[in-house]
Amino acid sequence: MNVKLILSLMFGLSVIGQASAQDDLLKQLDTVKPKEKQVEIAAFKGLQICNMQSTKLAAKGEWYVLISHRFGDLTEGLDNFFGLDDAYTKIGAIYGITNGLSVGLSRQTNNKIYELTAKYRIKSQEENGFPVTVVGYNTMDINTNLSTDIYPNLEFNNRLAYTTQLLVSRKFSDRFSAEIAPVFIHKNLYDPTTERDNQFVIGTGGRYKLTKRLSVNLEYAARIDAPENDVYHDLLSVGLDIETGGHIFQLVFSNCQTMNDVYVFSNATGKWNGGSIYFGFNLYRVF
Amino acid sequence: MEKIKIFLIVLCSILVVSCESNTYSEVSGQTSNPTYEANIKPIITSNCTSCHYGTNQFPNLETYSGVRSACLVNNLVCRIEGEDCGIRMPQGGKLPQPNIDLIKLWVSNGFVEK
Repeated sequence: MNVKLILSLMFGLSVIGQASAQDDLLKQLDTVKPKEKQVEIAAFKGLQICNMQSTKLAAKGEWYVLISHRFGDLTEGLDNFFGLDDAYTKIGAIYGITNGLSVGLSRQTNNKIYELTAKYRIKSQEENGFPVTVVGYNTMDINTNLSTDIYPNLEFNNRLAYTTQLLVSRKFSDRFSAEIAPVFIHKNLYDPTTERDNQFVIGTGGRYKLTKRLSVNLEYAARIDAPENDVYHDLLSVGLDIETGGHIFQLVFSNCQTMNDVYVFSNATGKWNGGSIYFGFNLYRVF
Repeated sequence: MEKIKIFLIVLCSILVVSCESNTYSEVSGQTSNPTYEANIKPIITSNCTSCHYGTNQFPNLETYSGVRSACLVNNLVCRIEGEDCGIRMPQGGKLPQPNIDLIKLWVSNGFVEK
């Protein structure tokens, strides 16, 4: 009899205890959650806006394989089948070491350039908190097309060129995000008739979401105090992001055919008003 | 994480500031009598023949006679200098000025082969 009573009392107590423990956990959840500032996610769907980098990074342990094409001059029409005869290709990979740091390596046709990249998040945009996402981005180009047959005094460091970029983006609404990016370019080999060894550029970009899987992107980069010539122009591109499961497919129309950041920001050869325009795409596959 | 970030930033800034720049003319060899074999062929090979080979893209620039005839008949010099005769070649960017000057010198010297 006594045993039964004790057992039922214990059972009753334990039930009450469990219930109150559950209440405590729920309370904890309720109280902890609002204290944390929620990070705004996905200002941009793709790692790039068109040619410029967006503030999106690869997540930890993620591999991105990147294939980009830029076809030849679109304005030549059927002569080169709207540029499809003269394609440049960039192929590369990006790996997320942590959620806030990723590194990449790619190689492109023009000048057989290898590009090493590092992208690191400095600060994230928060709901009712910090207003922007700040990301650092560095690239180093190795031009393997330069030959000592043409340039007998060439040294290895002459093959290198760098960009240092500070990408600052804000997601204004679910549909609209914008970015501004001061960029510093340094070239170890340059042609003083058309370019500078140190060039400062202000890049701007934005995306507007049309549907859940579709967004339109625009970017413009102004070179500050660039040498006057009719060879190189400020970058202007318009693009369309199409997201399919696991792929991000970006269609790009740009006045720059080359795909390494040094050339994108300082050596765009085309011109929107009466010059060359290039069509191409970026394809990202996540593993 | 924080250390990696700082290390990367420092490394990148060192790389950016520690390398002195040269112009293309500083690293180019100087010659008053350029020949096809020694001077022109390397420029054409690294800038033109990735497209202008075989029958892929007219004109073929793989041989001495091909390059010579492109200069005489197909405005090669005009195409690399500016946009008066069609879009500038090569695609992707202007040849460095010393290379253009060397090709022009070679043309005015009468296409010396060797």
